Amino acid sequence: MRVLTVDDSRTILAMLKHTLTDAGYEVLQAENGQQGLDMLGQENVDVVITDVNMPVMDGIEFIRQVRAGGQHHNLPILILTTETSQEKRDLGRAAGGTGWIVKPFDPDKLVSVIRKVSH
Amino acid sequence: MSDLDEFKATYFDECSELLGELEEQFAAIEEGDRESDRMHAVFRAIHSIKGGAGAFGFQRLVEFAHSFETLLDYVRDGRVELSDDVVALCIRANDIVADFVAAARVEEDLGADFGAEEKAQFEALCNGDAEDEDDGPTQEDFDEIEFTPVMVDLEDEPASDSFDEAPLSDGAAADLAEIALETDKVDDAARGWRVEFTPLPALYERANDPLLLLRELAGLGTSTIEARLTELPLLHDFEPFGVYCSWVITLTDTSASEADIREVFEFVEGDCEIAIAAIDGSAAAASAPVAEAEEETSFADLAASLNAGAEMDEDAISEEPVSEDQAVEEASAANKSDGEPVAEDKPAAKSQPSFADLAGELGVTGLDAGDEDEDAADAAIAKTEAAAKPAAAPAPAAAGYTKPAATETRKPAMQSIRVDLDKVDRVVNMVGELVITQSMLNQQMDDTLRDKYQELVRGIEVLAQTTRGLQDSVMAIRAQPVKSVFSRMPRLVRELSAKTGKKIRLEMVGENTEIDKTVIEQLSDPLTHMIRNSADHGIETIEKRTDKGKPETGVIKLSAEQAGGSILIVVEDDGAGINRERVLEIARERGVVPPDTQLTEDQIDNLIFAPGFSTASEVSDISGRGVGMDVVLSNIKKIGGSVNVKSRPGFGTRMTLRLPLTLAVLDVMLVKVADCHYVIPLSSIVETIQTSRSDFGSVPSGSRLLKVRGEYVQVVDLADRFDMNSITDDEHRFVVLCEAEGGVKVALIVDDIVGQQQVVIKSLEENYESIDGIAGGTILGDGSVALIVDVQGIKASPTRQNAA
Repeated sequence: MRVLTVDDSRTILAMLKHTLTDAGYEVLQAENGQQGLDMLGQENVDVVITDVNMPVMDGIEFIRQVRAGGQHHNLPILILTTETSQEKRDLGRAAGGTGWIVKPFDPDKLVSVIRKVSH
Repeated sequence: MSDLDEFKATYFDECSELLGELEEQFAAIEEGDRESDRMHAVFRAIHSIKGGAGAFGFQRLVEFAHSFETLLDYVRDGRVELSDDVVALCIRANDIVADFVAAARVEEDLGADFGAEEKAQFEALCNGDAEDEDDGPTQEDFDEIEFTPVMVDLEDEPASDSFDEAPLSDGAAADLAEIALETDKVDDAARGWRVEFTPLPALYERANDPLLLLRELAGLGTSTIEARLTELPLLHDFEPFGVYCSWVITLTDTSASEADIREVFEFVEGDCEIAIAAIDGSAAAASAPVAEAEEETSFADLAASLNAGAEMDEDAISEEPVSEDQAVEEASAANKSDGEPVAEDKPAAKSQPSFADLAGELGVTGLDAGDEDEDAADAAIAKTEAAAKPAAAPAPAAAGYTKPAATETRKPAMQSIRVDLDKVDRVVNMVGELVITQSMLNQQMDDTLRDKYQELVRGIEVLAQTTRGLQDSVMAIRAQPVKSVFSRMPRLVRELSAKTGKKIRLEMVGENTEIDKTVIEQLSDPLTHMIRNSADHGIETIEKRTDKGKPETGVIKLSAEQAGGSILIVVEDDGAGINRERVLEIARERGVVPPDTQLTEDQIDNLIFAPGFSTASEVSDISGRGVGMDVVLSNIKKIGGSVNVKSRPGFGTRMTLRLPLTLAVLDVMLVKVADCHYVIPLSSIVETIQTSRSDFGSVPSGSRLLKVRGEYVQVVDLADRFDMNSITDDEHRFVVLCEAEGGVKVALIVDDIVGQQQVVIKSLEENYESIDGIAGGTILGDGSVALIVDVQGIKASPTRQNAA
């Protein structure tokens, strides 16, 4: 299982990688939506976890473009957000996000959410 | 270092970068650049700082950053106008965030009031428009922020065939244990739920998968899953993207509450219709036989109709969860007797004529966890999924569960990579050794060899070239823009301006000039002192400036540029300049300079770097107690640089730091003194002269002077200085004329000049002990050790003599 993590924060990327690697996933990293798209074009990915606020291309646009591309309509995309408000989450869902994870994330919860949306 | 510490280190690293970027953005915003991109960048940076802080439980930082972020959000979308006052507030808030980060790093508490005033101001600004404000981070949000990495045993992956082993719900194993306990404790086994689940197209558009939801739901207890295909149209009415399938799940033997069930559907709320109804024990029990009865016919037919030409979906089969029921047994038996694999396919893709009929019959699918029936049960779920799936597939014929392999190559995703500094340093060290080996080879190449082995010589020449290129490339990796240090200065100037009541503007030029990372790290303190000095002693008060007809606002200019093999960093102010009379007076008072010494203007200016010297009449809160500028000198010397100050009374002061591009390799002149090798940094050598042609003079005290182009320069005989006996005849020795910092020249007398080469500097302090007059050591090509002459330290300057 390969998880693509997209976040402009190195801290969050590192923590995601640690948790996911421990849980037996292979982790790919991208620092913004554009890098995420590029990576999806090159690699096989089973699940995507993406931040919302990022430079170059934010998470919402990233999800929109992944879905618009047509190839990845079945790819689960989880939105990683610190927003306690519903707003960002709904935007992400409207763009085609599969589910969400609220930062700061609990490692158990993270893994269980990935299982929830992936085979 | 624990994982947590490592993450924290990453976080603080990242914070430094973000804070630097924030400084830059705010500087531009303050200048009047109200480009919306800037506010977005500021918002993102604060947001990132908050995000990480949440993960580590830096509660105060999170709270402050959150209020700040809310204000920024309001500014971003125009609900709060970005007036000068708001900009000033934001800049202050930015400093406070920096303080919170610094406090978090050293685990210091800044007190409850810190930042409270600004926080209140944010809230007041945003309050006009507070209806749709989110409720902010509550205590609850951070209750579980402690980051404890989990170990998840691969054995526990849901890939295992039995549902019972696979921890699926939140809190995984612990919850399962609890469920088991509760079921024992509470006699609730008969209680259950009936869940009607009807996906809408949106559910598929977001890549949610009913199969996974059913799997998760099934994990909550014993389940019977019934697929309802009554909506399935006849083939010619069949829409590839239509959604025709729904399910009724009967959950028994469960301790799950309605909330638990709702949580399963958390991500698809609004994308499906869900009806949850509690059933009592008898209803639950009754539902099973019903399913069984219908199953008998439908499943066998389904299997039979589908096997022709169909492909097995491996994903679906191998990870297929199975739940418990007796219903499928018959179907399974029928399937096995057929001797054909159970198969499924995308209906829309294959358009089998029998599909409409089949679909009509496909009423119920029961699942069984019994080993024998796994395949059948798997296929059953896969089947129901297949019927529903096409809805999500924009390209039905190509749609599958396996991800399309991306074969086309695009431009590389990463333009940069992050590498541990340790790793780079290892390479730097090895390249250093390589340089030495290369120069050793060169040394051993005498004329006989040159004639005899021309090919070898050519090879060694190429090696030299490549080594040089390699060295430059490696050094370029270590190089970083000075921006990281420069970006800390605007805040300093703001604070100084506030403390002194002077108006000061900071101008920065050449922030992208790159220097070795180690040099940059050592640069922060000296620069801080220099800028403090300029603000405190250089720039005049507003009244004084107005009196002199200068603009009210004083300017400090900070610039960086590359000049040959060095980097020049200049701090320049348009203040009063150095008061030479006062400097000299103080220097004499404190005994820094002997009473009768005559000093040039330059020498007087450079006295401000002398240890224990301060011109401030009162000890100032800002520049401290005269320990400032000598720190500059010693720090800069430590990294092989020099400091020079030039001042024009009434017009300002310019302080120049000259820094080496790299610390690892030094270009030197190799000389011999009493049969020992010494090296002199090439950067400080002005010229070399034969002693026989030199014009020596002497002063009454007995020390020798050298007259070069009308200028008298102090002479230091290295043999005498290092207590060695020169065996070379005075006539055949050499003078190496060096220029130390501040433009002071010194003439070193050596026995012989061997040549020019590169050496890797080894620290004497680390390997032996510090020696006066020696800056370090190096290993030569033949393996012998040579000492590096400290040109700055070796000249017996008037200040030094006096201090001793």
